[in-house]
Amino acid sequence: MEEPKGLSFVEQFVKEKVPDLSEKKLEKQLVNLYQKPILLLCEKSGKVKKKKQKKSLRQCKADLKRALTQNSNYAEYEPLRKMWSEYIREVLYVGGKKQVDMKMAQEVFLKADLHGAVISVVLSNCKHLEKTKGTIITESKNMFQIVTLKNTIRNIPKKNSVFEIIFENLRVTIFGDQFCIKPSQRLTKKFKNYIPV
Amino acid sequence: MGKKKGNQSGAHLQKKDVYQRLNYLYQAAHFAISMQPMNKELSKYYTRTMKTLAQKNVVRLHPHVKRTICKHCDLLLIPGVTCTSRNKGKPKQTVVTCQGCGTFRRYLLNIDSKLWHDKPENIANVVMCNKS
Repeated sequence: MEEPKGLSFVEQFVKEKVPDLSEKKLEKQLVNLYQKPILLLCEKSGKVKKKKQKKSLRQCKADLKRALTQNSNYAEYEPLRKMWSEYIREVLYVGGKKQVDMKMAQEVFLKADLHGAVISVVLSNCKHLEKTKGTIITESKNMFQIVTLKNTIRNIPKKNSVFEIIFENLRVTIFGDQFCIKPSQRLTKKFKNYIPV
Repeated sequence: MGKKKGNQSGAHLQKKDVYQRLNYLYQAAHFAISMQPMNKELSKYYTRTMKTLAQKNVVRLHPHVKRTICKHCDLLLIPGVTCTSRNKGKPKQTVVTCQGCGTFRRYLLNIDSKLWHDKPENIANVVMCNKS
């Protein structure tokens, strides 16, 4: 590193220490090294405030995916299933009724929240997806995300498949083709030619 | 947990199914944080759907519920677990800082002032959703 000549040592020192110098500027400064002083300190002092940016939707989805894969244990979601059954019972049996009208039940399951329901695939274009069973964790416009009994997480597309929910005495079948709506917008949407139960 | 108050004179509550669904989503967000290990992203997802569902149906969240949700990143704020709350400043105020993203909000500490929703003369009648 150190060379016997005094000038080259100074040159190397300047090259290493001074940050962000282009070659032309370096040559200029080396010529009049002995006439002009060089500032070694950084001129900027004090931090520049940065504005906080919201995460993009794609980044949020990637974070969710990473978080779900870490804990994919079927037994851990037991309280969610219990909570959902209490919620559905509260919606179905209004005013202490024991029997349910079939037309009422159709409307209830259309507008109810499905996070935590136990679901199974009856028919689908993909043959290997049939007969999978599990609880719904998240729901998007075109997908159900499910924790299966084998402690794995699966994405199941709604299109071209038929689902089934069993709750006490009721058996509800859902046609996925008409169900392709975000869960937060499902309440306001109107359905046509739709036959659950 | 979610509070249901109807300001109409009759006992009938409009948009009952919306309130029940909001209540369920709020409970599900609490469940996601109590998991081992803590699942922050899942609880963010539930609160985000709760917010959008209230927006679409033109239903306002109760201010006590609204103050437990981070404005920036939608994380559920529980003091000691996901946020810190301290009393400081010259006109005394509570500062609640989110531990996920670091945003903070100040609330004035004034004993005399009360929220509009907390005053007893503003509540017409209370409607319970589950009569069984």
